[in-house]
Amino acid sequence: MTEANRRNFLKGGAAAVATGMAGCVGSLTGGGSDKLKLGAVQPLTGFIARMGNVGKEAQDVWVKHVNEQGGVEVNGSKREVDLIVYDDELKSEKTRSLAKKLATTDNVAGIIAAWSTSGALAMQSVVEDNELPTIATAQTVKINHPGSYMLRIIPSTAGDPYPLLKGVASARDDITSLGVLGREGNASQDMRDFVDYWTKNVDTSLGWKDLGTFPFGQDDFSSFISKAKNMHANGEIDALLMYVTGGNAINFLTQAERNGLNDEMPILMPSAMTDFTEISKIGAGLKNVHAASSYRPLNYLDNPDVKQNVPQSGIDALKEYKSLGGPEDPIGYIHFIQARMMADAITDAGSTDGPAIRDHLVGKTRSTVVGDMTLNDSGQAALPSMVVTFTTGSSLGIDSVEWHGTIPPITNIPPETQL
Amino acid sequence: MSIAQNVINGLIQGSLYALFAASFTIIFGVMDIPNMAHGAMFAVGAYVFYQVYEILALPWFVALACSIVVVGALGAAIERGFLDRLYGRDDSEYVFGVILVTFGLGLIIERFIGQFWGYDNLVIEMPLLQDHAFLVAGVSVTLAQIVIILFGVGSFAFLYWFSNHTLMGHSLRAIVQDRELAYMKGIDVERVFLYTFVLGSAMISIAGVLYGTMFTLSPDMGFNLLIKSFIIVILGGIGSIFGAGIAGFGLGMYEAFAIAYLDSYYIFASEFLLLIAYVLLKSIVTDAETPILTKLLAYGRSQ
Repeated sequence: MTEANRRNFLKGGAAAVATGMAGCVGSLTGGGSDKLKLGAVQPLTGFIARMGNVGKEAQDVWVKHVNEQGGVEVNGSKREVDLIVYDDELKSEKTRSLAKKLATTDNVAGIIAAWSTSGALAMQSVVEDNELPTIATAQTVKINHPGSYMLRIIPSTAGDPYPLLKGVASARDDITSLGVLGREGNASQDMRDFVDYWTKNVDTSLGWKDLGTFPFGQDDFSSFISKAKNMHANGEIDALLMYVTGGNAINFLTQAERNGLNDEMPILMPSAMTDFTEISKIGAGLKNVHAASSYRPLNYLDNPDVKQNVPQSGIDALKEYKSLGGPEDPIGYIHFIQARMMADAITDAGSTDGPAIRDHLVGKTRSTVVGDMTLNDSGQAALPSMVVTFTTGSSLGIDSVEWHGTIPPITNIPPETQL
Repeated sequence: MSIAQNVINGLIQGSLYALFAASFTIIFGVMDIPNMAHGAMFAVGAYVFYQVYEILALPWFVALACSIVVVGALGAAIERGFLDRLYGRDDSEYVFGVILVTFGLGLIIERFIGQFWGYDNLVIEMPLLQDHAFLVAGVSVTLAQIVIILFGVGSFAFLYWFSNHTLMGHSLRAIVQDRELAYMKGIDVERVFLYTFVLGSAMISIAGVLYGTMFTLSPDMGFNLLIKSFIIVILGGIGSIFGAGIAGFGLGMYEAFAIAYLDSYYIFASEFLLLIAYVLLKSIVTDAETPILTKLLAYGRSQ
């Protein structure tokens, strides 16, 4: 190594050490700077970048609104919000390192977005070790345990089929056995476990049959549809519960309609699978589809059935959100609620201390755009939800609300909550 | 499920594999280019068609022509710009070089598609192909599926003819067998490779378009098919166009029957097990110092 190169190397090394030291200093100062620091880890690039960017847009709208009002009240004084948003590209190793940076270098008071099962799991130990309240946008039940700092205001993978079982399968006399089809992975397995529990302990008159799993990239569902049709013809199933999302959902429903599956049996779709933006491309494929969702019906308030099932406080909150310029997308609503919930908890706690904030996030009922919501000690919200059916014209519309109620905070099987 | 239904479903699934594997056979199986960007080129074909047909609202044949031209040009650029520099290197350097270069290019192309068209699933609406369906053994078969089956079979037939009955095909085989000898015989090696690569690219663009009319478009829409194509080309016997065709439809048929009994985890795993078993058995039977086949024949004669 030449003299000059060595000097450059040493300079770089010194800079790196200094940066690291600065990080340590930051972590020692806590949330004591003038601004209230919050963090978010969003997939701003990659294959679900649209969702990450919508989420960020909603968060930006919230930050602007709050700061125009002087900031968030903490212990009697208002502090402007500094939201630090990182792009993890939906790569779990990045999610973890960025969460660590938010916790130890940026010294944020809380994290208000964390996507994907693998990402949430990757960052969990960081969040727990640093006692950093985090409202995740991942559905896996694996993040839930008593005292968890990972919290959630969307259904868990286990709780996701609840509205469909409660409001459709067990409510209708013509459904005695469900066929269950899902994409490979834990989410699909959690759904199966819950369906199994439900049929053995809650509604023993309902049975279920496993139609198997398919890989992420499956496009052709001919064999699965034939299988479902044959099981129906043999009297083995009379409805289909499917864990199919995105492009899989479009392809499945298009092919199901073409093969007349929708005419033969209802198709039930849990909320995680029901991206109305995506399935609006299907048209007639939505015939006899029953979809559960908490946030997405809010885009159809012109439907009297939907409006009737959203509390006035929620409609007012939604109006306010829209007047601020927030994106009219369920992802936006979720991120807005997450941010507001975190800020309210900080105000109630009167500090940026993690355990204190968590104490005010858990167990308290808060009003949101979809209605009142309460998080339990395992971090799961009891969540208002609906089951809707669709019109099948050229543009997507909701035909009716089949069921409306609250999904209990289900985070394990057997559930430690009243169903 | 009835056997007839499984056969129809297998034929549909197999035709999708054959659709993709046909062009991959000529590039990987015959030209020895493990083109990892093939899936991305497949997607480009579908997206260009989408752009011209859905966005610019031009007739389907114009969109198809644009798709072929764009992917063909992309293929030419990849072959001339990158692969040409790797030919003639020793085996490991060539194979890993091609895999790395084309894998990287594939990722770049997919990223570009994502940035330009977005990552949401897109849909091509062609009522002519999608809405006309026939019920065969209780399975709805659309016109698009029939076109895909015909195109899949036709592609292999065309490649077989191209490879065995055209001057270009003979030249290609000669080059693959002995590049230096081909030079000495006066074959324009660069030109034959370029034209064949462009031919494979044009075929994959049509495959992408046809696939796009049946399913949703996403930047990584070709990835799974690429993996399956490796299995198909190897099972069919590298370099064997006929074998790849049989393997493509055979794999689809296997999956259609397997779905009745196995979870998808096991289906995919079993395909690789089959591949591993094939490779191992092939080496035992044909590559050993005294091949088992020879031993068996000798034993048979002695009895």
